Amino acid sequence: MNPRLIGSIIGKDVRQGLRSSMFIFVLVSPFIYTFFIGLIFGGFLGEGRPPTLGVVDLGDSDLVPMMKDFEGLVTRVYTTESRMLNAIENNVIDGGVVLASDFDETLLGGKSPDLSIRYSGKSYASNRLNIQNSLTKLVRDMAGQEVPISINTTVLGNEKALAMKDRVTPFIFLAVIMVSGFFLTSLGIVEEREEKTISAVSVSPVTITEFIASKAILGYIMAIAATMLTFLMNGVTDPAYLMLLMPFLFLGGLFAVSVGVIFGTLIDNSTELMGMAKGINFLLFAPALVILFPSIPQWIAKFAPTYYIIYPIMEISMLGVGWSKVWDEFIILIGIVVVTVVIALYLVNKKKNDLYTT
Amino acid sequence: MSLIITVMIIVAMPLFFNLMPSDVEETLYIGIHAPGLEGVFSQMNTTDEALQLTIYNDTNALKVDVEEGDVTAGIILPGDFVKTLLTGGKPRVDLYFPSIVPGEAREPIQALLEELSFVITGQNLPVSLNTEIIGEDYAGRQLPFRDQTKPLWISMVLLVEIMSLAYLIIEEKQTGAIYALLVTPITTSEIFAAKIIVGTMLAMVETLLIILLLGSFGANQIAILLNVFLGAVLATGFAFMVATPARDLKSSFSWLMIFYIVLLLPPLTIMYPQAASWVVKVLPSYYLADTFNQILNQGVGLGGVWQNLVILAIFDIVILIMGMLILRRKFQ
Amino acid sequence: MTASIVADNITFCYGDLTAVDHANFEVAQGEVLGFLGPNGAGKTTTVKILTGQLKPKEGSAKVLGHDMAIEPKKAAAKIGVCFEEKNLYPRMTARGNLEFFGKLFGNNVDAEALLRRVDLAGKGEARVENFSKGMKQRLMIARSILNEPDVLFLDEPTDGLDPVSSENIRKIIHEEQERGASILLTTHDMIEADKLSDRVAFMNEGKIVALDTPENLKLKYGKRSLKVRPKGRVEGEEVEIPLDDPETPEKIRDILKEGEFDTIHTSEATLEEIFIKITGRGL
Repeated sequence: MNPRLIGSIIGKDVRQGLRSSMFIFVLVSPFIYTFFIGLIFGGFLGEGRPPTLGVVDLGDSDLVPMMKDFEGLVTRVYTTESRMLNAIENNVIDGGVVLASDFDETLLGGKSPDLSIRYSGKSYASNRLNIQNSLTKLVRDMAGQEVPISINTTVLGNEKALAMKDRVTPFIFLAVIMVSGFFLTSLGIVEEREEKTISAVSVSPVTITEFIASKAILGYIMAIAATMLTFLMNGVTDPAYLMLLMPFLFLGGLFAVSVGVIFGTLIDNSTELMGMAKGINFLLFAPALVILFPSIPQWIAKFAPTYYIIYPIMEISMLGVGWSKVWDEFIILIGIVVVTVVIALYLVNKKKNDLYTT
Repeated sequence: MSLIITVMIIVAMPLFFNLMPSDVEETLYIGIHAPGLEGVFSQMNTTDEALQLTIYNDTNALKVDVEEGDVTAGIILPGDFVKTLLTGGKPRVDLYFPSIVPGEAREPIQALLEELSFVITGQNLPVSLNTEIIGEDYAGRQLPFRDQTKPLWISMVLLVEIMSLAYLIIEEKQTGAIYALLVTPITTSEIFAAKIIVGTMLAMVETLLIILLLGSFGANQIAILLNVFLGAVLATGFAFMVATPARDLKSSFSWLMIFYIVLLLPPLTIMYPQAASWVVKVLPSYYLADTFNQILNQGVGLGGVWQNLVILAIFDIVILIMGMLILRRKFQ
Repeated sequence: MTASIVADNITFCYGDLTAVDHANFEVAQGEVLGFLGPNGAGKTTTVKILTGQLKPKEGSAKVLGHDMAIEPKKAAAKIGVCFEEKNLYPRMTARGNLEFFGKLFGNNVDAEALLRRVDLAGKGEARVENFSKGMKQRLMIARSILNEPDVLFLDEPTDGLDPVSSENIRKIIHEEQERGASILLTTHDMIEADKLSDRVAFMNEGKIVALDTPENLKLKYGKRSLKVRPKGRVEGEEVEIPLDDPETPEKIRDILKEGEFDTIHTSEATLEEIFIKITGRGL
């Protein structure tokens, strides 16, 4: 393979690409995905939201800051009771209380102020129980009642709790790798077939392998660069983790461009490519969806090849696991990539005439 | 091959949907080792879905179950727990959590344990507590999470048609076929109408198929059909708006992706109302997804969703008019 | 001397359809071979085989001594192809297109000189998507000669061009021939083929049905005549005297005796008439 020829094609694609909104989209996709999905929904996606309690404080009670500081409760302050009731009815919050203007005075004076917790009918029973116990604890603390037991808390096991925001991140990584690696590569090939410029290149000294390689190399470089940027934007900056992530990233990029080459070889018009990409996206992103919703049996995700890219990336970047936890997924990923690359090379060779005369 | 992929999605989506759990876990499972107090704690199991206390005679077995996440927490009371309490002492209680339970979820359980101890020592609550349920009480019969996702899946299928339909229009422009049409007696309005009809029908068929396969085409069929129709018109109108000025597929792709992501936000907020702000109500897809949610998950009929349908219809008309104006401006 | 292009019994099929049926011909160095035939005759398929885009089912296609089915890239640097379809990069400038392909051929291209040569001077910075059909065609010609090829394949080179531009392109073809390039010229334009080609090959339904110089083809298949319109007669009332008839001199003397004439000219068969005669169908 002639690097000069490959470099010439890549250079042409970059110069043309910088005028293309698709290319620009790939460059900014880390920002788009991180912002829209990670920032806006990172705190909310997934099941099992923490108990959320609304409060209308008519007397500037000391209970409200205590509620806000309590870790097991998400507290939202409402200015009016009607607004809070509206939020309860729509299940925006699990429940709500109204603190009378003399609540603190009554409580600290040894009398029993009324405390009515209004629950949303759609709130989970466990959340109601947690709200009640949390509120009673806070009230007792405020009233100066000493807890009659001492509690010694121990955490068992090594598996870390994964915050909901962290579960969204694999989706972002996968989206960036696939948009950059798969789309750029496949579209780059298909466009040249549509415009018939591949025929013009075919009668030059460039071989079909060099031509395809130039598309794949550009897609690969973009995939790696965009994903690295995504890592940094999502707080994955520890050099030790980044070193561990690199092999998965490199293989993931290779998988994405190989799939891009396969599609670019099989499809000769961009409309059909986009139509197929719509469908393939659903299948490829399925493992990210499964990870997002832990109540779905996680074994389902293992059938998708992209699972072996994003799950180790998530484990390393979000849970801080080491090589010993991910080496098996790495081996499987190598196998997947080898198979995909072989299929891609086979198709390029078999479809050479079709590509030239498309 | 594109058709094969479309069929695969139509098959895969309901399959994926049915793999999601169909029940809701709203119970706190807590294991407790309380020598001599087994009877007391057995009676404490609530009659509603909130709490399930499991008595363990073996502390090691309890710890194993905690570590494996079979229970949310494990409590080990010392053998002289009650005696120490009643004589004014402060017994030490061991509370175990599995590592997968996040920190913020541990505090309420700790509060539960503290409350138990207060009850045992007879310390009254310093407030007069009462509870009330607002709206219909769904405890014990909560809507499974997968059913909550229905409006999202259906909206996704509908909205992704914006891309498919846009590509069809762009392809016609790229091949020049649209110009061949324009030199015949057909007017731009007639071309527009034909495209809208075809686009709407395609989007409707795919969406209705998904709804059928999700098992959701039971009651309120007229309301569902109307909503699907209006959603399909919406998708087609947006497709037109993006595709008409687009030069080619690649240049329109970015805009289509942005449109798609933005329009998908409201269906997500239907599932997570705590994430919603007033901004989402500006987007037409909110009314689409909210209507699906009300019909499919709350059993609301046409009478309850007509306002949403009217708003959606108004959006449709505005978008169609804009699409038509853009088409005219481009080709006349 | 070895021919630059040697098509030896090449056959190609698209499924059940035999597109090229045992075609045999050669193009010598510096020769222009015109390739004539109706749409679907197999001309483009033959060119694709000769340029290495397709592999023949039977036979061999050699260009500059290299078998194009086995080692196409060995000849690639010294061939130039002007395709019938306009396969330029639309979002690149004219200069950009030429310089890019120049790099692929390993040449430093003087884009301005090439553009001047095809009457596109000053259009170097314009994007190809904004070019007219004729401008694109001229740029295609420029691209096909940027590497100073030894063998040039031209498929409908004057398609979409006005008479002045067409004449300019013919001039370029002639210059390339003088430079020593062998040229395979595919065209529907018989006048062009007649003017430019040293020899002409007729292709019909995949077969080469005739291959000779235009003159020989006309002599062999065509009829020559003298057409005279005496004064007072209208167009269409010419007297036609065949020139190959033994009684021709006498007939000419007889008509000359009539006195004054409005027009007098010779006519010979066109290549199209010869093609129809040979194949029974038009171009």
